[in-house]
Amino acid sequence: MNEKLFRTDTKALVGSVIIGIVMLIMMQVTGRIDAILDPTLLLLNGTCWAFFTGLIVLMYRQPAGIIAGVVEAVVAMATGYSPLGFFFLFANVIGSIVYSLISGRLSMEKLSHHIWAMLGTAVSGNLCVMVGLIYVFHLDWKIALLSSSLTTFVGTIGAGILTKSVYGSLQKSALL
Amino acid sequence: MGFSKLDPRTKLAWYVLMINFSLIIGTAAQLSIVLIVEVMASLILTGSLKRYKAMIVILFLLGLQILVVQLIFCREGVLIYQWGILKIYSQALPLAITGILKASIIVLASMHFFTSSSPQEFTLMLIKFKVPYRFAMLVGLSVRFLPLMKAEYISIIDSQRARGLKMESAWDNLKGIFPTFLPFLYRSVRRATETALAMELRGYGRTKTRTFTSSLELRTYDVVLISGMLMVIIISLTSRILPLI
Repeated sequence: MNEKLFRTDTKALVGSVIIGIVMLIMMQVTGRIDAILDPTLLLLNGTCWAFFTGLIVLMYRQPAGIIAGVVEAVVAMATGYSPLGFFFLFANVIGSIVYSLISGRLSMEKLSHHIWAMLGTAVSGNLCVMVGLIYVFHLDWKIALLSSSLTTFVGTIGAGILTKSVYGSLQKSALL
Repeated sequence: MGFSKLDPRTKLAWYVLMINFSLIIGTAAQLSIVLIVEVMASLILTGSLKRYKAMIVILFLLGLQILVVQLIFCREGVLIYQWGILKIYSQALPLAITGILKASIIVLASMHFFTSSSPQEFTLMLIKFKVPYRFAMLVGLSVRFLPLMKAEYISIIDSQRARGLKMESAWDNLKGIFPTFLPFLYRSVRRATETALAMELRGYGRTKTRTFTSSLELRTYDVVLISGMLMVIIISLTSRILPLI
């Protein structure tokens, strides 16, 4: 088994669930702030999603990334947090796999590596959400594409920088 | 017979059926019928709609959001009002109604499925789907930890407020994310390590299989319901795909 991609020890499995819950709580907090500041773009929410998707994969690899994504999407669906919850399921799983595949090929020591991995995650995840925007909200595809592109751009830069900084401090703290 | 008495696999089939309807149906009339059927089924099987009170508020806010988005961005139909760059087209309202109905069906179906079964039932369902128990048991763990983690986050916010962090306006909340989020994340990582160690010491993952105090068995009505719902899904998908071939 490729150790850069997979990790199935108990710490990784339990960590995926607990950090998945942290992700969910932070998504709800940022979602509420977004609802007041930028209700249609959800820039903060998108950045928070991309950051956690990347951080969990870096910390616990796969299948932890997928498990955390599924936990977040399922609770979002169960609580009626968003009707796009069903699409979050695909966004979280695909985004996490893409991050794994890209980060597995890079050393992840430079900021550019984090930005590249985050770009793949943000593009694939926001594509799934875009489908949701078109099918559920009946948004015109050009508007949905514009909204997703903006979220992808902000998410890639913001979450890329954040992931490098937080993951670096977690490594230094010897908590992993 | 209550909704909670049904096998979780039957509820899963119901959930898939509702998602399928909400995604493939395009007219407000048909979506309204599906929503009414869903509400009636909920009323018959649970005897009350009280638990969905909170959902109505959420859906109202969501509906407003969809309506505003459609009024601003919809370009279908004829122009009925213009004020500067803001143009309102005739199809904005029908599209908003369709969007709200679809969102309502999805949210209601999700709440049906995820709130009517216990974590153990979900675990047993995953075991029946041949998911290894080390993964299937994480459902119970997430349900157990959700309220604990929420309480921990609130206690961190209270601690930071006691140290002078302002959390009154949306802007304050935005500035307060980092001072509250980072301690929360680090404490969660430490908690995950401690919990994993405790679980391993109790034998979690020691053997490849394990036994449970209860098991899931499909009853005749479950089989009939699942078969019926699968038939409807297959027919609706076939009728959509066949004209394309």
